[in-house]
Amino acid sequence: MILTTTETVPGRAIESALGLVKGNTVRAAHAGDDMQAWFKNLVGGELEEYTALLAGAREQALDRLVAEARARGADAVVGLHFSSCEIAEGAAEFLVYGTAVKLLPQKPV
Amino acid sequence: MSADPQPPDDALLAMAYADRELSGEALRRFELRLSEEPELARVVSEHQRLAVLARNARPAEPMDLEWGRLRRSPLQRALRGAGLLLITLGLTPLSGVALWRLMHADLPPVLKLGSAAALLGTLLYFAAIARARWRTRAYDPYRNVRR
Repeated sequence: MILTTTETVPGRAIESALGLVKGNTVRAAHAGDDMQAWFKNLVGGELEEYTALLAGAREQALDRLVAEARARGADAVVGLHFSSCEIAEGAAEFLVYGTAVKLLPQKPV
Repeated sequence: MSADPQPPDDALLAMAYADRELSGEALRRFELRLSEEPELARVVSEHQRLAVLARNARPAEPMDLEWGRLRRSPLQRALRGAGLLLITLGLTPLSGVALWRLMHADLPPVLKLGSAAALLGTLLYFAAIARARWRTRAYDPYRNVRR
C-alpha cells in the first residue's frame, strides 16, 4: 500500500478515486507515566512517556486507515493528513485521513 | 545437518494475516477463527507488534544511550524505588486514617453508608477497568512504540 501526502503518486497514474478513508484512536497514558511526566515538567526535557503515547496512537490510526483502504481494494492513499488533539488530560487522539485510489498498472520499462 | 523446522500452519497463517497477505475466502475463514480463538488472536497481535516496531526502527539518538545507562544505573534505580516506596508508605496510612475518621465522624448513618458504598463502588469499578486492560494488553501491538 502506497501512502503519500501528495495529491498524486509520482510516476503512476490514478485510475479511480475510491473515496475518503480514515483511521483514528484515542489512547491514554497510565498513572505511572503521568506521574513521571509531571516530575519531568519541573526540570524540562522530552516527556518520553507522552512521545510514546503519541507515537502509538499515530501507528494505530495509520493501520486503521490502511485496513479501510485495503478493504476497498485501493492501491494507494493520497493526500494523507495527520491531525491530533487532546480529548482528556493525559490522553491523545490521532486522526489520519486521505483519499483511497486505484492506480493504473505500471507500464513495463 | 537438518533443516530448520517449519513453523506450524497456524503460525504461518498468523504471519500472513499480520502482513495483510491473506485475501478472499482464506481471509474470511481466518477472521472467523480469530473471533473464536483468543490464543490465535494473541499470536497475530505479537506479529503485528513486531511489524509496527520494524517499520519504526531508526538509528538510536545519543540521548537514548544515556537513557539506557541511566535505566541500568543502581543509583538511579535506588532513587526511584525509594521514592515510590516512601510515597506508598506515606499515602497508605493517610488513606486509612481518612477512612477511619469518616466512619467515626458525627454523621447520619445514611451518609456513612453512602460514603462506604461510593468507596466500594469506586474500587470495584476500577478493578473492572484494570481487569479489562490486563486482558486486552496482550492484544495491543502499539504499546511498545517509543517515538
